[in-house]
Amino acid sequence: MKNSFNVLKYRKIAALPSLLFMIVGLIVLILFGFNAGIDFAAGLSERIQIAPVGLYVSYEGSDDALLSSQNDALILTTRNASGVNTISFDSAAYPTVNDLALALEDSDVKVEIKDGSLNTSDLVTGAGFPLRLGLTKQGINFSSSQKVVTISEIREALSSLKSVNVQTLGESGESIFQIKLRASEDGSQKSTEMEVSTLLEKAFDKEEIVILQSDFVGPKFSSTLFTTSIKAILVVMVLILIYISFRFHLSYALSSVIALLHDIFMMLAFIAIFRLEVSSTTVAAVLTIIGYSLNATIVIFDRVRENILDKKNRLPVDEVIAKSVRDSFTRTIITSVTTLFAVVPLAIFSTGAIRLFAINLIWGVLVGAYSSNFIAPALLYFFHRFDAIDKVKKKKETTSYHIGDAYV
Amino acid sequence: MKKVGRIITILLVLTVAAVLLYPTVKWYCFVSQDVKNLSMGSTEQIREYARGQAAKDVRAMMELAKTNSGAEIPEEFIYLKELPRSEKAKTLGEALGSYASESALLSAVEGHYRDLLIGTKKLSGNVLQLGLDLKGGVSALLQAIPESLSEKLGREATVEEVQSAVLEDIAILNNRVDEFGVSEPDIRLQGTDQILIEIPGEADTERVSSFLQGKGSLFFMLVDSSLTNQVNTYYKANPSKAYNDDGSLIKPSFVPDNYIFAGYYSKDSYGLDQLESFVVLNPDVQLDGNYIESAVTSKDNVTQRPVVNFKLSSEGGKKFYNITSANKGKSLAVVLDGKVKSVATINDAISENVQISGFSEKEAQDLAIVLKTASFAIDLEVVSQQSVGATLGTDAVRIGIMAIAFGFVLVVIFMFLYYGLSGLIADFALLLNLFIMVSVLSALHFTVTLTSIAGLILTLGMAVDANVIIYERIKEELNVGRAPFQAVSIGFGRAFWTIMDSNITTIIAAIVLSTLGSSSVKGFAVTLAVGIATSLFTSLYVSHLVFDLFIKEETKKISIRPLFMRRAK
Repeated sequence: MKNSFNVLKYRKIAALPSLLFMIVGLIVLILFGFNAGIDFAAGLSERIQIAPVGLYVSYEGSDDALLSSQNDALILTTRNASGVNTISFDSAAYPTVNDLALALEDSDVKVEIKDGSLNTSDLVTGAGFPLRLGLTKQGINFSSSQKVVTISEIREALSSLKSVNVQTLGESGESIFQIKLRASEDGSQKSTEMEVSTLLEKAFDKEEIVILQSDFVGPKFSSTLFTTSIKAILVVMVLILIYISFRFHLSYALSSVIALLHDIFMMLAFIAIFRLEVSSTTVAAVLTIIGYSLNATIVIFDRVRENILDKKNRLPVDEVIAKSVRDSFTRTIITSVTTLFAVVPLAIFSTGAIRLFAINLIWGVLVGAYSSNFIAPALLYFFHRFDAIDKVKKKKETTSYHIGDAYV
Repeated sequence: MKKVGRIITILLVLTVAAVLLYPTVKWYCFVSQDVKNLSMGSTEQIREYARGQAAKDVRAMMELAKTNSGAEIPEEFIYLKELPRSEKAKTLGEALGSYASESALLSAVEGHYRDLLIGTKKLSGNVLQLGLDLKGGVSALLQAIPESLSEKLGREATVEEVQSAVLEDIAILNNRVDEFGVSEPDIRLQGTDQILIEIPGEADTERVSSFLQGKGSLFFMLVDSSLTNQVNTYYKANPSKAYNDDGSLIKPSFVPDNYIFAGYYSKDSYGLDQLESFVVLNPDVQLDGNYIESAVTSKDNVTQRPVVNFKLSSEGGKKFYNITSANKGKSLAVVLDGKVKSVATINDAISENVQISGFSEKEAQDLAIVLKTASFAIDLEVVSQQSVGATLGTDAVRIGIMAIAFGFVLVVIFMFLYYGLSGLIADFALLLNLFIMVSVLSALHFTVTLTSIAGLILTLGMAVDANVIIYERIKEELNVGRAPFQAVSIGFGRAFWTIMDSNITTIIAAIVLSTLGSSSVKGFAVTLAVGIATSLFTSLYVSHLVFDLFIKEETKKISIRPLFMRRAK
């Protein structure tokens, strides 16, 4: 059964799901547009955590004192005459804030406990860390499952902003949120950031707001990003077209580049339908899939090139193409599987931009495998009518044989 | 015969890879965290630290030598044996005796600390570093505003003018580095009119703003020559008493409180500020640097020596005239942030157009920059900014490593199950690929970011592709009844161009991305390109050799089929 399966017979049916999917994607795109990330739409993306203050620290000594964190430990670094002194307060040795406070006091740091029952391992560090200690007391935050802030509270706080988008990140007890905000035309990084923090400080205790991450993209930057991305994709396509025409033949080049366009549109449709955010990593994902899918297409085309020269076993061109797809089938499956093995864990474990990237890739790998087995061979057969792949090949026979023989 | 040559080639590649990887391994495994932290500081901070530490050590050594000069060199001063002058000394007394004077000893000890930290700093530039998104920090992309330059010039600024103004801004920013604190920011030109600043460790965006504003405390002050002479004679006699333990100068008691006492520095061969002499400045006679309107370097018409010309505003010019006319023949110092950057003699009363001479070309340029530090040549605005807290970064590294480990294990197991022992050869090639890839990246002084971890993971999945193509070919040949030896040989031969063609197209995409993409995309593309290139080597060359070593002409069986299916047979 497998040995006689001819993909070309099913090419019209095979193209149908692709076509449908792209049409749905286009409709969604026209109706709703892309969910453009700040990379492309200019704005602020902030990751914040609401976490209670466990203790306040201040320092009166003459040394240069700095608090930083590493893994689950709080690290006190003092610089003075005798060089640098580093003390690590491990969460295993000092499980609660109370323990931590006692230890810090032994190291000449003035401590005021606010909630001693919090766990050291829940230490939250964001903007402002490493913390330079001085006379003014500064709070250190610890996340607490006792005091959970819900997403609606954050939305409520920011309701006066026009285009704001809030998402929950991490586990539910952690109160971590991603806030995305379009920047106004003349909005600078500082003014946009201020807008958000003023509103948040009205609703929550200022001390408890920890900024974990903050990305700002100005209008100028986002417009250049868009043009360079498009440029990158076009340059890749042209170079690939040239390379394949040179190594194979124009029919192969045209079919593989059109198959690539298919992959790109399928990815864009996927991104539009599932409302995935479009950022610069999306561009990276699309380009990776171009490379990946092309890889698979070339492997199959290489087989076509070889089989068509097979004098012992002369077959009509459509049979040759179908046979080549069959010959390469196991390889297509296995490579897709190993790539998925690598990418799926990434999608599972990571968050944010990288997870999106991984999800894009997973879809891309599937689409790539599909297009190189169904779409690209069908296109090759189609172009064969205008630019025969078996005839012209004969002219080049000598060089091709040379290539084949050189490594046998 | 031929095989020996191939083995040697592979060993050579592996040796080179190991050598390239050595700085990274050294950095992460053998340099103590303290030294790393210290070396991350600015050169200014390193100098202060080295000087303070040296002054302290020298005092302690002399104290010890006074009571017991025959004692062995204690553990904390063991570095004396590494210094050229005292390397043969057996006792502390001997070691100290080998230096002509206290100041010679002081500078030798200071040199030891300085070389250690500068060496570490250099090393850090040669290793695989984590990007800001993995270790936490702020990165900001600044865009020059050409309009601000046009306004200053009173006409439309040309592209070249904007470019050189941006380069000047970078010099000004670099000059402000010392104001910044613990870690030294990385300041780079991006494109023609953008500046990228990356500050590791810090996640506070406020810092960038303060950095952009700068302090710019520049003053012209009159040098008090009699006190200056007095101080210089005093410290020549007691060099180790000049510094506090933190490297700052100790003000002698005979200098009046309100007088400013400072070191006069020039750049030494390390690019570090070198103390020339001490100067005492009269605080009653001074001019604020805010009056400076422009500063340029040029050459003196007569002497051909470099000079710095700067122009003061008319109000500043009047004040400057009053100062200079009253103090002809005395010296005037240019003081930036409490440090004397240059001292010049007042020959004539000067008003608006001031010329300072008496230094090398490089110094003149530096001074011109110092004089302009108060304001940017062209205004900058933040067009994109990223800040990542350290916790988030550590989490990202953990997740990345976990995903790599997971993916790697899955691929390795799968290949073994599906291809038997041949699968293990592919796994070995994959492992080798990872090793060579990381060493190439570290040779490129690559910065590992989240996206490059993604690239690494993707390469992992794609790298086995070449082996899969080869194995499928070998299986086909076996299926038509060829002997293992022939099947392997034909399989590798047939697969060669398939693999080359398919991978070259992927490399094309990766190279375009690495030149055109945004910085985060670049990291990904470079990893991918390097990974594919190295996977070609490991699959086509290394695994081919392994097959040739095991599969002889008389070999009857080859383990290349799925394990579970073989059992069924």
